[in-house]
Amino acid sequence: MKAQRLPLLIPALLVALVLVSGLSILAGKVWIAPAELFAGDDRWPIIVELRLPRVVLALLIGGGLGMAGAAMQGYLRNPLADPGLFGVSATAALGAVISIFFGLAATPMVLSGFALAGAALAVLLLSAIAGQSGSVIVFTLAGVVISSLAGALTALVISLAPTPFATGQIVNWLMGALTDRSWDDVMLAAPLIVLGMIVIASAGRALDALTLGEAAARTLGMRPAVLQAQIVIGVGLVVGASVAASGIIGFVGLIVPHLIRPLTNRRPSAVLLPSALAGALLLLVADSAVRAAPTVSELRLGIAMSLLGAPFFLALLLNMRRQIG
Amino acid sequence: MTAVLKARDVSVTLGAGPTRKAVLTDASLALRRGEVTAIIGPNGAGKSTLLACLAGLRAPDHGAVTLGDVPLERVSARERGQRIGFLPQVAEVNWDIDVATLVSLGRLPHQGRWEQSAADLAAMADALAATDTAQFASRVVGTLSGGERARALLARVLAGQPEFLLADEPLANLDPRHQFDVLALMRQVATRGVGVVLVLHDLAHAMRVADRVVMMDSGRIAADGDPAAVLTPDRIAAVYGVASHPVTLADGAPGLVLSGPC
Repeated sequence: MKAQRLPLLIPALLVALVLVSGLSILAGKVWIAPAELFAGDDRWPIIVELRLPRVVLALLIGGGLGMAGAAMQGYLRNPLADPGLFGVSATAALGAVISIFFGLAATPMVLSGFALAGAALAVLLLSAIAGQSGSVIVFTLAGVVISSLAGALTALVISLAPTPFATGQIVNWLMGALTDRSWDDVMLAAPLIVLGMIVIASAGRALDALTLGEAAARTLGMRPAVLQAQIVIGVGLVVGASVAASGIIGFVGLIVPHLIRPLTNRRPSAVLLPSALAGALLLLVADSAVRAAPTVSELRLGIAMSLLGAPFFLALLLNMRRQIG
Repeated sequence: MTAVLKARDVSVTLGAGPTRKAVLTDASLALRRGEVTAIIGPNGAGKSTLLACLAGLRAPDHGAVTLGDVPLERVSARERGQRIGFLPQVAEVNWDIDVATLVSLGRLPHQGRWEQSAADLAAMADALAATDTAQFASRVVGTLSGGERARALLARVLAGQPEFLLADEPLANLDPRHQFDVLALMRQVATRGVGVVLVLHDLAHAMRVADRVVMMDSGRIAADGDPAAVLTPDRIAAVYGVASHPVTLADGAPGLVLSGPC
């Protein structure tokens, strides 16, 4: 009756994270051997100012999205749920796109600020529409409406872009990447993502109760309105800050909980932490790969994730079909 | 052991305007620990609604439900979860969890935020033993037979060590043998000092197993008391439109035979 089916799951993921983080710092278009690292090498700034913030961001965003995905699947009791479902990522992207449209994105942190404002707007709208009912259906529909509205507005902004250059900049940003991120980006995203993950983790017990359906969960002490607030705020913080820092990176929140769930006892709370660790690992591996790959211009991380994610998801569906059939 | 779950003049109306319908009208009853109470009545009589009010799932429009003299809405969700166990009519189990994990969910109202205590583990082991489900504790709930599943779901509620156990039609979809098994289990649970409330459709079972029968009709409590005193042919004819005959079973217990519409 241990919480984990594989008791070594979390330690194994932690070890893998440390190893891959170390490797990711050393590897790139310029390989830096560990022995040269502490010798006062003039490549030291490459590590501290370029690679390290990027590694930290990949860990934070991957971890946040992995956990947010696990929480969303637990909350909606649906293995197909994804952190973007509530429209938070779409409105955050809209905010960022608006800042690029008005040419404000050159000023540091303005784009992130706009994206966070967009995410906050989605959270407020969701709360206002779903109200105190705690109803999952009203809530999800509200998210879908907000998401498609923000998507339409983003398309409108792109079509109205003043120059082809601005259009290109917007489209390029939307694809999601961690290229050229600085410590400023880390400082902005880190507190929000960590806080969001703490809020999500505090909902673990209520998510477990929801395994038995809404009525039984309520008789086990789950309070629908409280849980809904935890999910909206937790997922909102994680996804909003992630999109602000990196653009939209799909599939992490969808795939990772799937991979992790069979390795646990499948209680939603038992999936949260391993999903965070595995999400961090996956995004770090993917980002290191696009960074170190010998391509002329770097492959966008968002594209790489989707290229990786789509075949995986297809395999998952085929596997599900075999189990049903 | 003195705590009592009470409903006083509880009324519930559903819908608004012309479709407004009173599903429960001035229902009052007091449930005691250690007693098996059967709530019976035709479809739409308000049985499930009354049970939902007693479980704190629905706030009555009028009247009050109290747990040991404290109004249920003033009892914290967590404490209510610790003291009142609820077995829904249609049990939903997501995520292909195994029986041990299912039973561990019953400890949620007691459990700390992260860890399960020795008391949690002991209660879970106790619940598995009481329902004779320990031998398939590692099987996924979805692979169980109907009878096994019913016992596993009951183990989940028992793991919470509630003072009251409210079960909405726990015999639905069970064959006769498993119905008797579940009822015997319910009796055992009551012997341990739990107030057991069962919504039942089978009047013969109610006659045989219950200490007390609450008969509902059109949202009102039509009769409440000793099974033989409540389940009279006249009352059954008036409420259900069915002819019935009280009999004495081989072991001397009171039984009931239904012979057809009247």
